[in-house]
Amino acid sequence: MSTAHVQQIVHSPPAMSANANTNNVINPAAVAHNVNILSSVHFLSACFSGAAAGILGLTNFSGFLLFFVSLLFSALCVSTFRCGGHPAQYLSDGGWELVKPTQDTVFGFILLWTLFYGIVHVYD
Amino acid sequence: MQSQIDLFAEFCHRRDGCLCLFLSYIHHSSSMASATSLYLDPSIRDWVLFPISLVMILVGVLRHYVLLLLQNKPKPQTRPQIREQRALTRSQLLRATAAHSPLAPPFYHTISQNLKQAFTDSVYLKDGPPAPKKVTKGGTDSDEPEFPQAPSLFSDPSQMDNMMAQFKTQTVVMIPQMVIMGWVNFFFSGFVAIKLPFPLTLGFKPMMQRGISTPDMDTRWVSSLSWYFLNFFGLNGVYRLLLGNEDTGVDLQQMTGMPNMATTSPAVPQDYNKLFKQEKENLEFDEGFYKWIGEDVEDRVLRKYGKLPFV
Repeated sequence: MSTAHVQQIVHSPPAMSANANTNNVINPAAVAHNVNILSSVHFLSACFSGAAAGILGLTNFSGFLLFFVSLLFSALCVSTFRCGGHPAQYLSDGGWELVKPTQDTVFGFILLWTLFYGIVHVYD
Repeated sequence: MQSQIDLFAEFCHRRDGCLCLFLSYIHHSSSMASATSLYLDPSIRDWVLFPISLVMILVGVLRHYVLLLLQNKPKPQTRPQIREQRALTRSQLLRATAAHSPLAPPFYHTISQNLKQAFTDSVYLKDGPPAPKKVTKGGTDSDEPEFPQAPSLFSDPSQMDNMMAQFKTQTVVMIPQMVIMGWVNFFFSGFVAIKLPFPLTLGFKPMMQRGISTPDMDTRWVSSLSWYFLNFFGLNGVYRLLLGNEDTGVDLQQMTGMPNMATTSPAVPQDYNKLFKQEKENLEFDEGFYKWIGEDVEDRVLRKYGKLPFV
């Protein structure tokens, strides 16, 4: 995996770029890099929370609740520790990507949840 | 209080009968009439769930490398082609900065004039200017006085190559999935494989319990084909983690056979002759906006330090 440092996407300080064309101050490579890292973090946190939900034997809504709690928790951690509390400077749409679950994430969670639930609670 | 009825739902003789499934319905006779629980044979876990997941992960990795092998490098562009594109880029750069141009007026106007002249004579076209008298670069006789039409998507051989590559990619993505699905269907059908931790509506029952003819069973108990589908959707992230973050070619749009034309199709062939004509007009238009950033700079500096009165 590439380096796990998020990069600031704004080339110049926002004060300077205020009068310039705002489309040109965002570095697309850095945005893509950050989104990649974020999706990895989300997927891993979804996998671990899925395994936890399965082992704990959560069913129905409590499992999905754990998923959203872990999603929010990882988003909070990323925005606090990696983005210095200003996620809007690192993500293109004002930091909403931090809490937006992707399809891969949701299905990864369900997969691990089902697997561990089956292993621990269904067989034998 | 509890009467335990063991019943064989399925008796599979594959794998020497070790995959037989003992369904034990425990009827809680007290209050809940149909709160049933099933105990599944652990060998289902060992010989069905794990093999399916393992095979799918390994096939995904293999597919990634096969796709890498199939990717042929984009052909290097010839020098005239690059020159054609760069001329356009240069003109666009010039225009984009015209309102605060760092170029002094003589330079700006010279460059602008030169580009306009070049666009008019179309010296930058990759096939050379279309004048019938001039001999083009490859020594070929220029019989066609007219500009060649923009190549259509199907006539250009390089475009055909691209479409062929796309087709190959799709085949490599689709075929293993079909094979695995057939494998799961053939060997692992007809018994309950796992219980989902969340309920599904009854609409899923024919799909998730295909081959299990127990009309009263809860929809949470699903067959191995459902486990295959869970893997199919859930392993994309695993592939990404395993194989690095670049596109593994397994995104869902390709899976479903609908290639995303906007991203997968290569650059559409463009009629540079038309583009040049348009660019020439744009250049003329933007000359009106041109303003040198260093205009009156002496006065501005002097005013800044108070040597000249403000106006």
